[in-house]
Amino acid sequence: MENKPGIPVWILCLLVLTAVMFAGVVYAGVVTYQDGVVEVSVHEKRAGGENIHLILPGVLVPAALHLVPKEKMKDEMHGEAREIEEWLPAARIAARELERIPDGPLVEVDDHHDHVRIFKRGGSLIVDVDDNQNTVHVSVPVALVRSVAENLHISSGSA
Amino acid sequence: MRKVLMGTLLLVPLCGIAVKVARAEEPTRWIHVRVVSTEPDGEMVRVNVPVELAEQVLPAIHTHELREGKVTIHEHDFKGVDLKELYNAIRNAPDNEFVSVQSKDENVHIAKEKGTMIIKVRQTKNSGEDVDITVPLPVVEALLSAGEDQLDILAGLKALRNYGDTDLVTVKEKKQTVHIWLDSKNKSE
Repeated sequence: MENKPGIPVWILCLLVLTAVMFAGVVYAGVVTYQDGVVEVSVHEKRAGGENIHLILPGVLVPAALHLVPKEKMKDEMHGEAREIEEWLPAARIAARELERIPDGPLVEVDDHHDHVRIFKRGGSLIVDVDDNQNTVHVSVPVALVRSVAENLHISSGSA
Repeated sequence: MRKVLMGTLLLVPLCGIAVKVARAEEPTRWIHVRVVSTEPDGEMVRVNVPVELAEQVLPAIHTHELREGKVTIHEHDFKGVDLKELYNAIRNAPDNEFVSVQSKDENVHIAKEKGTMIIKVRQTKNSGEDVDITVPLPVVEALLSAGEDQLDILAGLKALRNYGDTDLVTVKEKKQTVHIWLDSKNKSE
């Protein structure tokens, strides 16, 4: 029997591991690109105030919703969150339509102290709030808004 | 005969494509609402909603007053005035100012002008409000199509699709002004 000097097993394992990790990174990149990212930043204006800046892959939100027990969600929707349940069908349709409408401001509220802007830009729904105490910026992919609205609608048992 | 049949068969999908292209090229129509407070600490609110979005969302809203795109109106809101009767009288009348009511508190003028119903309410007292409403007659007809005590907002919106830039409602009160209009821009003025 001929004994050929081949690639050592440990190198093969390393290659497979690298390939798996690379595929994982590519997959995560594709999923993140598809679902976008949720961006939240809060800046407290007081001296020494907090500055929080979070960027989360959008895919985490529906995944987190799936972790909430369906019965618990249903109970909540029929109980204390009943008011939300009533508006879910409208929210679901609005979220779907949001994907189709062009970019632009949807709601703007201004007074001497507070400025609120809700607008659609580049496939994201953006909420900017600037008041005496804080500056808040939230950006959520419209597709994610739709996905969450759909999930909540199904969880409420209305579907 | 075969040529005619083939031609017809070819024409049907072509018409379908033409309609789709035409719809795709239709600019989005926006309803704008602007509320401006005149008080020192007052606020300005601007809301821009695509007509299509409103048309889709309205039937899904079920509140006490608004159901399936129809809003319930109470008799006392119109002080016993039969809106349908009023509309029928207006529709068949020539362009003119046909209702003018002057009272101690307010003057109301309703006129028909180039297929549009114009309502102007002017308070005579200092604290009062001025209201201007301009609505195309087919939109009024659509609004009144629901029933005795209902306004069909959804039908009204659909009818509005056929009109260009339109000023719908202007209310000027001492403390605030409200302006509702329709155009193809996605921003308030």
